[in-house]
Amino acid sequence: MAPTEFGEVLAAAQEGAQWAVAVLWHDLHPRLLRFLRGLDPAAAEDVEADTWLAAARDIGKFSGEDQQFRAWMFTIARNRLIDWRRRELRRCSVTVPPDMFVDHPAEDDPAGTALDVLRADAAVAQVRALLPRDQAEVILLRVLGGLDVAEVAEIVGKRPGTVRVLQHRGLRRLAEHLAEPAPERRGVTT
Amino acid sequence: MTARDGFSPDMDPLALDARTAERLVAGSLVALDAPPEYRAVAQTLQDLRQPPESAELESGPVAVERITAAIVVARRDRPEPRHRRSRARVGKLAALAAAAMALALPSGLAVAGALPESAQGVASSVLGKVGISIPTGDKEPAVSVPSTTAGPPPTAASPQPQPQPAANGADTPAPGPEAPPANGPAGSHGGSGGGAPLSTANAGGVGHEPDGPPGQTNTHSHRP
Repeated sequence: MAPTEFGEVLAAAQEGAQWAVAVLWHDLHPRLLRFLRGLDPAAAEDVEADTWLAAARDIGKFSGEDQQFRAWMFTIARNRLIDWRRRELRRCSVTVPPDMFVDHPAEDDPAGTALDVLRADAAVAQVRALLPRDQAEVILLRVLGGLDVAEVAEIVGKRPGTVRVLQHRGLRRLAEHLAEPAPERRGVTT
Repeated sequence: MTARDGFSPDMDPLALDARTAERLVAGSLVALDAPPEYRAVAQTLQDLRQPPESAELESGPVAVERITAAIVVARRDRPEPRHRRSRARVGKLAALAAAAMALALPSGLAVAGALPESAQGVASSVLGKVGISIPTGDKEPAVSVPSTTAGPPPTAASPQPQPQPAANGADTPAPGPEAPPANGPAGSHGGSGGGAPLSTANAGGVGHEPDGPPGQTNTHSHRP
């Protein structure tokens, strides 16, 4: 979004214009949801809804550009996720794996719907499955939020150098697990 | 040494320089241009950035409506604290103004010699200590009862014969019609600005109050 355009959209959203809220939501909702799914798929939907409501309460006080707004939203999302986890710990709920529901098919066709977002979701699932939480968080914030190292460092409360190290380790770890076997390399022994 | 890339076996094939890492996460390095070991990583990160699919946006209208409603409610609720704050600010300002008036009024009266005798004496002695000379309270009896106090001649120690308050108005050049010719061009501002507090206090009647109605008529009658 161009800076002037974003400024107009933000101002209108702060006034409660629905079209402006829709613009912001369409831009950020998929990123926030993927980010949250990459950290905690069970909480993602609820936390994302909470994130928007929290942002709605304080959007009147926000001033800044597109990039800062994104950083602000991801900060709220991360804080909400931490709150959600604390609440869940107090509630002592048991997370049920999705396999439990194989024998209880839904009436609609979730598989067909899921195919639409398979690539993005598969990528999120890979990041979540292969990386420790802190590395996944840094990489997701950088990729989905489009944030730089300093902004990510501020969000996660770490130094920029630490963020760079986490990012580097995360990329390397992904490469270790995702790299296709290279027969020409592995196979050549003589 | 491998046959494919010519690197020695002790070299790390997954070595990643900072610039390439930055390009990977920033999305400026597509999978085909990435180092072979990082092609899959580049593809995965590219998939993360896929534009939203229709399924992801299904909840849009409901969500947008709910968020907008929350913004409107927050906007409606927000002005209230501001009102409270402004009311509190107005209260503070009123208290400050009252305090300033409470300090300024007696001081003005004291400067004009319009306080009751005892209070004027106290004010004179207190302000005299800080270098401000104001009339003492002795004048009032002299004016109000000229026959009884006129006997003893004024001494050097107490040089406040009662005609002085009447002349007091003449000391300040500001009052009324005399000021403009005396002050010249600056008189318009100086007369109403610089000399205003004292002169207007005297001309406005504050200085005349102790004199009573006769004195007031006298000063006004003398001045033109």
